[in-house]
Amino acid sequence: MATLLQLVLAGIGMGSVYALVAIGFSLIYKVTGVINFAQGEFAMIGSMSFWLLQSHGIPLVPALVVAVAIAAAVGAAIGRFVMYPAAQASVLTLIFITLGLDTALRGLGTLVWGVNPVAVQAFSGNGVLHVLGAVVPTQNLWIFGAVVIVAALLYFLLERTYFGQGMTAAMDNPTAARLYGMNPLRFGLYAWVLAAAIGAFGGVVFAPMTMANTNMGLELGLYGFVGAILGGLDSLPGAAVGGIALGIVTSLSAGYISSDWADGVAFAVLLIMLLVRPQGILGTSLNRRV
Amino acid sequence: MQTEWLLEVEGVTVAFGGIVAVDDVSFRVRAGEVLGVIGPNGAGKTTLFNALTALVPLSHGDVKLSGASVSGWTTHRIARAGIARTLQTPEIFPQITVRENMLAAILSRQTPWLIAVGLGLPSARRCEARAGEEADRLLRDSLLRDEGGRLAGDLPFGHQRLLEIYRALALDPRVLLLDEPLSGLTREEAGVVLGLIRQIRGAGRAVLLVEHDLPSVLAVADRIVVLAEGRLIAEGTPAEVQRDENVRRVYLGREAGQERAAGQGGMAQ
Amino acid sequence: MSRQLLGTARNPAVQALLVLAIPLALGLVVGPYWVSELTLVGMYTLVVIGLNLFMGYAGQVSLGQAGFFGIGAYAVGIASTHFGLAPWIGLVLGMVLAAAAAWLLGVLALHLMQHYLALATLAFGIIADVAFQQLPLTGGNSGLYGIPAFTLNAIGFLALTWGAVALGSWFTNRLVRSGTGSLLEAVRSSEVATALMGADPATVKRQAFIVSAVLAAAAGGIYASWEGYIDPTVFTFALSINLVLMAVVGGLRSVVGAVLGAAGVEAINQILKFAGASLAPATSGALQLTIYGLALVVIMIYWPEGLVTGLGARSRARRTAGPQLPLQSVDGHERDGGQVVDGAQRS
Ligand SMILES: Nc1ncnc2c1ncn2[C@@H]1O[C@H](COP(=O)(O)OP(=O)(O)OP(=O)(O)O)[C@@H](O)[C@H]1O
Ligand SMILES: [Mg+2]
Repeated sequence: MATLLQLVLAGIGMGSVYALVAIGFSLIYKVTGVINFAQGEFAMIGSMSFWLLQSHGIPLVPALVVAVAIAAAVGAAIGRFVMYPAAQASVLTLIFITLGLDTALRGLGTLVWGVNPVAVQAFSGNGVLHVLGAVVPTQNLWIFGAVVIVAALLYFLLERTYFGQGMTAAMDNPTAARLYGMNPLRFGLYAWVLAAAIGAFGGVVFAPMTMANTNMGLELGLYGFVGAILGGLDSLPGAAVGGIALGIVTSLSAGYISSDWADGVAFAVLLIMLLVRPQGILGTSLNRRV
Repeated sequence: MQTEWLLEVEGVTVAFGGIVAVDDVSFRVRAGEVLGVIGPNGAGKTTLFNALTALVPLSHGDVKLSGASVSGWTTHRIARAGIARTLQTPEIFPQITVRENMLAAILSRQTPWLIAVGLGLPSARRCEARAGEEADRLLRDSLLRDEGGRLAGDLPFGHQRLLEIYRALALDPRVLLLDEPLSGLTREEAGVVLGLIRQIRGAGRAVLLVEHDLPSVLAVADRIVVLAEGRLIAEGTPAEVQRDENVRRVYLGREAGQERAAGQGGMAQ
Repeated sequence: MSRQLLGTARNPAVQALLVLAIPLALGLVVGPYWVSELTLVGMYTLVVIGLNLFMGYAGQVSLGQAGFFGIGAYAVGIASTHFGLAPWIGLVLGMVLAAAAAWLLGVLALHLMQHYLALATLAFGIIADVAFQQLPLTGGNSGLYGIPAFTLNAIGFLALTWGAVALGSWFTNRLVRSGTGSLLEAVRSSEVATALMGADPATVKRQAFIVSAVLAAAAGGIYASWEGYIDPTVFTFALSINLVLMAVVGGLRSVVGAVLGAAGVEAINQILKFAGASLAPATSGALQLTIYGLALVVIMIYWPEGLVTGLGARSRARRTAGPQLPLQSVDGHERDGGQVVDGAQRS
């Protein structure tokens, strides 16, 4: 029983990171229709920037803010200099473009930060909590808190601000948004910035849980997709739910089967989901076009 | 089961979430008949065609071809059973030639094994050769006879529409659904299409014609059904429909009068 | 005269012969190092020709081709080291197994839209890689050693590899230039219109997928026997991406593009290896990733048809366009990828 709880709690921690990646992924998909294979690299950029700043003695909060800002700048650059000229590209072409971005960012990251894994200090020391016999690192609370904060901020931004309402309109009905004089490319750019910032935030809070390295983005990105698809590509709450569910599933399979098969299980779950419910847990429509 | 009706549409309903785009529509079509389907923008005409070809699922109702239900079938199976269709926005294959467009349509029925074609097995060769002859024959009798070697995407719009109609005819359909086949055509091209429609009917097939250009519909249709807001509000011969009170109110009174004034061949939209 | 020459050069059999003869002739004059490079490029080209068919002509995306490559390689490895079977038996088994896997994946996932399909093939590739690491017969992370070779000398392997490429190119060229090839183009262009003509787009896509899987498995089988040693680090997502890069760099719709794409990417590899000799290996690896990634982005933005096909298409358009200007998009509806039934349905 304690093992089960332990595994579930660990899964929620890891799943919260996937959730943050997945939210960014869904955001870009909803606003621009692009499947962003480079989403995990924003988390990598967040982690590595944070490490670099921290290792220069910069305190937690400023380091966090700057790391997120760096990733957001990268997201803005992509949104502006890659997505504007590619605005008319086909689905196929856009898939290749974001795959190329993923590869390039991973390469650039390694050129900047090197290949060696680095140790990042936990936000509040290496303490643990005991919950009904299960042991939870305090950093897990930070990670879970990050999801809650991001969800709340996103909700506020999208539902309660004028800017957010424009964005929501652009997501729900791009044609109408254009008719009302909104520039979908501009909202696409905002989506890239937001998604990059959210992904980087995930990377920063996750960094102390692992040895951060420049290759971590690919795997985080892939798990983020699986989470987003599980939850429903076109649903932001779905992305959060899907990411956390995926974290629990992989944690349980690692605990009860073998961690060697964790990747296999995660992607088998994806295949099964695509089979039985391709629109995901909370997604609405698979495709509006027949 | 023998029946005099080629196509029977029984209580067909299509709902998108809360919007009921087609609401309990029933009508029947005989072989050799042209049925005009008219109605204002958004009446549900295209959605009706989408339902008949399984591009959208039926919420209720049944569709029968020669007495046998085809509801629940996939799009391609319905096409093979004999219901062909064109789209409101033509979907030709722009990057291959006109003749290759026809070839694709002819070969669709059999869908040869790719392996057999690549290896050049005799069965595949025979199939390809027959398709080639058929494509040439169909093109020879068409308005596109000199354009077989052109990229379909390079054709003027009217000829793209024509190509889509010829492609549908390559299926040798029993029922042909045409969604606004005249819109965007020159008067000359429109004349060709109307001639084609009469020819198809002559061969004992049925044509369902959605068209905003009322004079043309009145001229070519044997019977007309009128849709408004998803419902079938009138059905009858062109003369009956023109006299119908409901129709005058929701449709003819507003649009046809203006069109008639604009003169013969004036295109709606 | 030159037109006639061009016509001859486009004949599938002539192209196949050239595809075999040129690398072989090169192999006879260059040193052993380049013979082995040419052989490797041939294996990649074989996979890329399959990807051409599936991505360029059928218009789909596969991000799991390394999985099929691995199935071919492990079939040869396992059949020979565990069961003492001749490598060519393993090769045939691998191709059959890959066909079966592709068929199953096709049944499960090919009704999905392009990006969902991309993710499904990605999932397949990763599951295959995990299976290579974990299954009892694959030798786990240490891999399989001592896989026997088909033939003993390097030129023999060169001929075998490029012979397979020649066969693959002959097959694909015949297919795409046939009437059935037009049907493939129909599926790529509009699945709705294809279904309305009476063809099941999923059947067509599945067949193209199976062909691409079989070609990848053949290449993998040859690779295992040529290298004599395989381990799971080869058959990763990174390889799948590399193969996609090779396919799109050259152009998704031509055999020449496939050869040039595979050769070009491998050439970048080699240049970076030489140029990077003074750098740390990690740095040169990162440089390679950066260049690959940026190349993919730039090429896809400016030449989405690939370099070779892009230029070829331009000259073809010039030849075929009549007095009218090409009518790209009739009324602003997207033509590529979008499957638009009519305006109402998109809103
Ligand atoms: N896929 C869909 N999802 C949601 N609503 C739809 C869909 N397709 C059609 N509709 C709605 O159904 C109604 C009927 O549309 P339809 O296209 O069938 O009309 P129509 O009679 O063909 O009009 P037009 O003459 O303009 O072509 C419209 O209100 C349309 O917005
Ligand atoms: Mg319509």
